[in-house]
Amino acid sequence: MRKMVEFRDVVKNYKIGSQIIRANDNVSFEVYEGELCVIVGPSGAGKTTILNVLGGMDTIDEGQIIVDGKDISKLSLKELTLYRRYDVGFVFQFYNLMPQLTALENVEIAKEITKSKLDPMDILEQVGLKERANNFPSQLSGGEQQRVSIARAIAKNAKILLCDEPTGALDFEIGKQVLKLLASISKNHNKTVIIVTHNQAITEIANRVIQIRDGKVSRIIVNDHPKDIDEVMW
Amino acid sequence: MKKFTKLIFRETWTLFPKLLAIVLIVALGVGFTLGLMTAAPNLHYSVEKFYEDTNAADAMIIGGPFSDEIINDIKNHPLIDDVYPYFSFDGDVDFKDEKKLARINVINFKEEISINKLTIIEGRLPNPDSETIEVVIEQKQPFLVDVPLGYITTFMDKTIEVVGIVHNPWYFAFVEEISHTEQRPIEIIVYADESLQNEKTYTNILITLNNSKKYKLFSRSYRDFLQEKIDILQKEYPELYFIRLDMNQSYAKYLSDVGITEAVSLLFPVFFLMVTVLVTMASMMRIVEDQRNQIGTLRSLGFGNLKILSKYIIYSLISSGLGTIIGIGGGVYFIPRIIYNVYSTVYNLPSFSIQYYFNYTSIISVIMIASVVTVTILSVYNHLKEKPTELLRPKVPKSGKKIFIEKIPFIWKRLKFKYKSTFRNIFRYKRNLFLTLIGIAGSTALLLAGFGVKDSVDLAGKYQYDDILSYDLEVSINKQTEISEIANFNFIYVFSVTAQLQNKNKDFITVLSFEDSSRINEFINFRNKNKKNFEFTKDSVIITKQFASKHNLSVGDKIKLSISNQTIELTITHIQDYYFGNNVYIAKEILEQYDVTLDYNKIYVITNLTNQEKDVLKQKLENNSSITKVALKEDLKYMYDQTSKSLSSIIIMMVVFSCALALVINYNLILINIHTRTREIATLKVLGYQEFEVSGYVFRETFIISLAAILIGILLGKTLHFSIISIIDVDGVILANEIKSLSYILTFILSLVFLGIEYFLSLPQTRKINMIEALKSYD
Repeated sequence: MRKMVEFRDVVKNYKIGSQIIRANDNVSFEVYEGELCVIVGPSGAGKTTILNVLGGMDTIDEGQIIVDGKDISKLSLKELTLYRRYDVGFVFQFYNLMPQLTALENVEIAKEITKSKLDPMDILEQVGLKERANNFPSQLSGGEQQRVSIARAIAKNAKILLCDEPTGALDFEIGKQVLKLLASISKNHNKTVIIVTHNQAITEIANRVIQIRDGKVSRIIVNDHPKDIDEVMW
Repeated sequence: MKKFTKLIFRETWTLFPKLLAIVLIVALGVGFTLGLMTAAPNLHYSVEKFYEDTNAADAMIIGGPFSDEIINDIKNHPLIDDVYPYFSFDGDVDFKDEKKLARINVINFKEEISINKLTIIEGRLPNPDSETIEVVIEQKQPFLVDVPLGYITTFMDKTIEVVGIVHNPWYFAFVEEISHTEQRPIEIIVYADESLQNEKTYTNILITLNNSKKYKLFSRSYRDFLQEKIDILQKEYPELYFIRLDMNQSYAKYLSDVGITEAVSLLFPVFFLMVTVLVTMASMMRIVEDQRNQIGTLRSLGFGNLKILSKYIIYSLISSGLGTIIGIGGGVYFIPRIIYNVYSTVYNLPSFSIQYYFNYTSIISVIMIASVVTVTILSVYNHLKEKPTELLRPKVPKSGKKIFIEKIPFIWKRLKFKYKSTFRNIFRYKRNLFLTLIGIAGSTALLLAGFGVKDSVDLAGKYQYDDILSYDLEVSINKQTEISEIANFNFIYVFSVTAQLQNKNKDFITVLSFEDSSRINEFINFRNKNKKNFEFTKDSVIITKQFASKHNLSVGDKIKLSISNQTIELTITHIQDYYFGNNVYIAKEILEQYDVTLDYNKIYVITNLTNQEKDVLKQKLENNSSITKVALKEDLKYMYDQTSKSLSSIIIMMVVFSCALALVINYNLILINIHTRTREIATLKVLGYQEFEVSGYVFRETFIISLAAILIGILLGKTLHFSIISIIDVDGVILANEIKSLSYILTFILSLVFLGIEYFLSLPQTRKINMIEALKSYD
């Protein structure tokens, strides 16, 4: 199996006033192609920092982050932009759709900046929103908006799909549908999906679980037989 | 309460940059508006104060010598306040081996001068007991020689010494004064002590009228008062000749020059203020909207609505109040002063006296502050209507809608994706759209109007002197004789007389008639208001266009004129394009029918000489005893250009302020735009939009709206320009109602340049937006 993401002794410090806070303290882990990986931990543990640096939104102080063989910790700001553009599909907790664009157009945005060959309408169909293609975000429910957001991430045809609390703003049933969609993407399309969450329940559906505590990796669980989402309760 | 005050204090600090923007816009708007509005009144006031300080004469009586009896008689007339008789004559004096024509005013320096007091610019007043004759000289100006202090010469076998340079309130414009006895321009004006004169006679009497000080001397009511009283005096003393203050060259020129500034500074500021008020209101609304959360927090903490409201009222009062104070201070203090300094380059003006116009100041301050506070109250009130829990939740971003262009698939399908997004955004925030349109259209209009007024001034001069008047010189003669000096040139005899219009309205107009009704076409280019040429014929009755519009006369209308004790009624055949002066051109064949005697008193001459040769010819002509005055068209044109230059600098100032306004408004709107879209911008950055794509996303719509606004602004500017030109109320002066195409181009380019500047200024603002913003739950 191809190694898609590798964190090697990653250190990230934040300066708050005169105090230095170590948000990531020698974080190391690996994620393989096609895996559904859940990074879990209580708030303040440092998982958002992992999301930020893996998403190319922030730089690290020490260590290396290798994505598909490329060390992104050495990239310039400009190169980081291109990394975000071509290699990362991002799913936000609050969907972050462009309010002035229809569902279809929100997916087209991704295609436009990446020159991906995927057809936006096909992807919308895949997430079950073909009928809603011409609706604006304000006319869609939260779950539907999140599905558009996932469709947008898929449309980029990126190497990794990075999801920030994708079910955080959704109720239980809708959240399950979204997770089901993410699981199927990793399973059926061999996409690497990384979900960052504080929700322990989600870990059961993952191939790999990385637990974060006090800025460190406290435990890595490899799950060869993840549960189906329908068996999970939270 | 203490905690609340602390809160306000601390928060003011965080709101500081936004409130500062309000302070700046208000200051700019109030300052410029008030500064311009008070400019013309202050220009008048400074000279009026000078008139008052020097007890300027309301009129001068000439045509002496006057006996003591008549002087006393005039002095005791119930209309007269005071009289000041003196002796004045014109004669050549030696100045640096040359003869210069001097006007010698002989004054009794033993007593204080009571009317037209001399202001000492340099040196001192003459000592009447001195051995030599001490004199003072009128200060220099382009038509007067610069005589240095301490200069000694001999005159009338007496040694005279210049001990001072003075300023007489009747001489402050740079105009040529022609000697009536010598028929030449005066080059030195001297005030000498009586000891110069052997016997006492008086040739001039300065008079002041009772109650004249009640008027502002540059007001129409003063001129009406003056005319009425002097007309009465004239009837009682038909043998005397009265020169009213408003006939004084300096007064008349200043009145006319300031009149143009006045017209420009009337509409311009009103427009400017309107734009400022709207933009300030929008910015304040924006600030309150950003405070949603704050208001929610305060309310959930249990603060009462009134208390919360009072907090925002304090903010708006402080920012608009501070801006208003800065604006009043800066604008009222500097702008009239700057304009006055500009005028000082073409006039010998007294020092600037400022008057604070409390009516203007208070009206504008109240409008500005009230509009900001009102909009604040309304916006806060809107938030107070919502439940506190709603306020604590993020505001749902405004949703997109299909727009009308989408109904035209032909265009919509062809649009690039990013333009589709842009066009929807344009209509998503209607308020921003509306404000950008008003702000930019407004400032573009001001810019074009500014350039346009300059064009109108320039073109009026060009049309009058280059296109319409084809002759080079106008020679005034006291009897119709052969003038040998011009025999070789093309010339025509002209009959010129002042007539009175006897239609519904009474007005004075100059009647011009020519010895040859067909040859005159070589000297004057006759053309109508649309600049279509026509020929002067033996049936022509042509009035100039300002006179026509003033009395609402058009071709085919009848005008009744009283010329030399006859009243004749004629039908207007044409309206003449003309800018300075009110004339009626009547064919001599018509006047002869009415038995009007044509005493030719002018000659128009076409010379084809160079300017230098013309000057030589002019001097030669001035020595001819049958010639009373020689006017070179070049000189008139030069004088006009000087005035137009001073006006230009005022216009440049207006343009600069419009530009500043445009920049501040647009920059502010772009900031609002970026601020409203923080989340969208952060999201785009996470999605991997490159820097130029992000700024393009924000700026593209500003650019499209601005482009539309610039086009609207140009139309608006044309209208504003027309209104400014139309309200110029100076008798005998109209400007060309035209804007050069260069000005349109310049306005357009400048507006684009501003857009470019704003784009670069806004770049750091989008760069500053952190991607982490996209992950947050609300802003």
